[in-house]
Amino acid sequence: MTTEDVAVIKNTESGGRGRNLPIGVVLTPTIFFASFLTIWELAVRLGDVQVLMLPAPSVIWSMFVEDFGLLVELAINTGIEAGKGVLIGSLIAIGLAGLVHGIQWLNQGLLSYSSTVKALPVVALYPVMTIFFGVTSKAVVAMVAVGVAPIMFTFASRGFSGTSEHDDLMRSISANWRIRMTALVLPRALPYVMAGLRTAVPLSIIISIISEYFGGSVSTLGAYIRRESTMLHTVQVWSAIVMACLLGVLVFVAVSLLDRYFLRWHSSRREV
Amino acid sequence: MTGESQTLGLHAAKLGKRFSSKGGDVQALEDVNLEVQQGGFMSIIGPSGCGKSTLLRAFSDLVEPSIGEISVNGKMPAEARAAREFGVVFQSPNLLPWRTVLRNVTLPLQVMGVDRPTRNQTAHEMLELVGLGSFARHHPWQLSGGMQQRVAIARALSTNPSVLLMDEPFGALDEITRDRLNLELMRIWGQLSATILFITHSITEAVFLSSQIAVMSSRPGRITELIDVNLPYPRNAETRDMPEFYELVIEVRRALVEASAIAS
Repeated sequence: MTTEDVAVIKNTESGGRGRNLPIGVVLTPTIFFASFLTIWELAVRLGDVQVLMLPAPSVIWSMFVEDFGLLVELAINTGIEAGKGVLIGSLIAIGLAGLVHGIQWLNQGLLSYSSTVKALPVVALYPVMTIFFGVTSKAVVAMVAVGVAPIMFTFASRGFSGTSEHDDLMRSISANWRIRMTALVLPRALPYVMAGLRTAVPLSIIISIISEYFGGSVSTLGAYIRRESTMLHTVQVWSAIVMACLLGVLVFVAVSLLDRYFLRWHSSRREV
Repeated sequence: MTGESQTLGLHAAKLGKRFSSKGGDVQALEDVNLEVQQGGFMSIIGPSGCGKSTLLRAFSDLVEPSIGEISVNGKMPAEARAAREFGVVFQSPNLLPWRTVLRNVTLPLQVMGVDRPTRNQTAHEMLELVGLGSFARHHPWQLSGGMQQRVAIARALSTNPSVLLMDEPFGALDEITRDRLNLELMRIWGQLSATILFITHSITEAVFLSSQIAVMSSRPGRITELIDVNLPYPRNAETRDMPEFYELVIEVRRALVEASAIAS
């Protein structure tokens, strides 16, 4: 190794992503959001809107703080249902995509099937799921899996269909199927799988909450929102909506962090 | 196989390859005859699209010839591949970006089922050989293009093949880096005494490295001239200053011009 070699190492320690974030990226939405809340608060107070119709942000916030422990528990339960659904749906979809990749007609058939299921409003399937699983948490998990699987299949299938010069390499070293899969095909599909998860994971929260709304385990965000709304506890409903929002943001950030970690080798994830 | 071809590192006789496509057939190789002694260094030089890469891919069992004989160390390419007789260095470094430098170099050994400690040790030795001993834990994207190509060479050498098939490995590099890597390749070749088939479109590179240069013409791709390079080994930076070096450069250039004239 020579000193030139050291010099040509692209420096990744300095700079780093996010540090030179333009101030507008943070400031603009903050100002926007603050103005939005202010207008809302003023409109409710000055317009004398009934709390049953639309509570002021300050009222919602104090309820959110008061019920925080309960809301976290509800969010965790919803999150677990969504997570299980994503896990099951993704494993089935990725496994299937991996098995049929290379079998053109089967892959095409499953892709068109996926498109059909994606076009279907998943909520319509809930009665069917309750027949299979009863009005339980399992039905919610199944709903999420059904919603997530076609998305993940489409992305995974695209990921597996990729070819590159690495295929020549694998052949030249006489790699067997197992090594070809683990060392090349699966990692090469990973950016597509992560892209799928970026869509599927936030969607999984939406599907869980909607499904819970129709029934399922009692201690979840969807069930809570429904129960409180029938009792005209509008403030409680809104505080649960805030928690649902936070949960959505949280899982999105979590997926983004996973994406960055697992794809740190990927050219699009770096600023070189 | 004839008795003679068993002593040859690389052998092709009356080799032809025709690619069929909707737009019509392309005769990529026609009547190619080639002999490289074991331990020899043969460069193939020719215009773009003359089929020189196809020839190398035929030796590395990535392309099935349409007609003719071809062997590596006296074996059919498929057998030679299974027996790990050759290592391939591609045009691009072709490293797996999700693996560290070390795990890229150990990949062929992993395929062979070599246990982890042994393959790590071998990979470290190979990285030392190409001068990248301290970069084992880096990822490919942290290295320059020249360093990546050296990792690719280390990977090709990791199974200790007796033949190295190199497909324009330094084509994408700047001239200074290329000159340095040429020197390194000479040093490595001196240590390993492998048979090397080296594709290039650089005349000076071909003259500097080879014991023999095959000049190819395009459409159909065939070898028009064989030029012996009688410059003494080991070659070093001074080799490029020798008058004989320039004479050979001029000779190869003339042969290339003639080859292009045949094609057009």
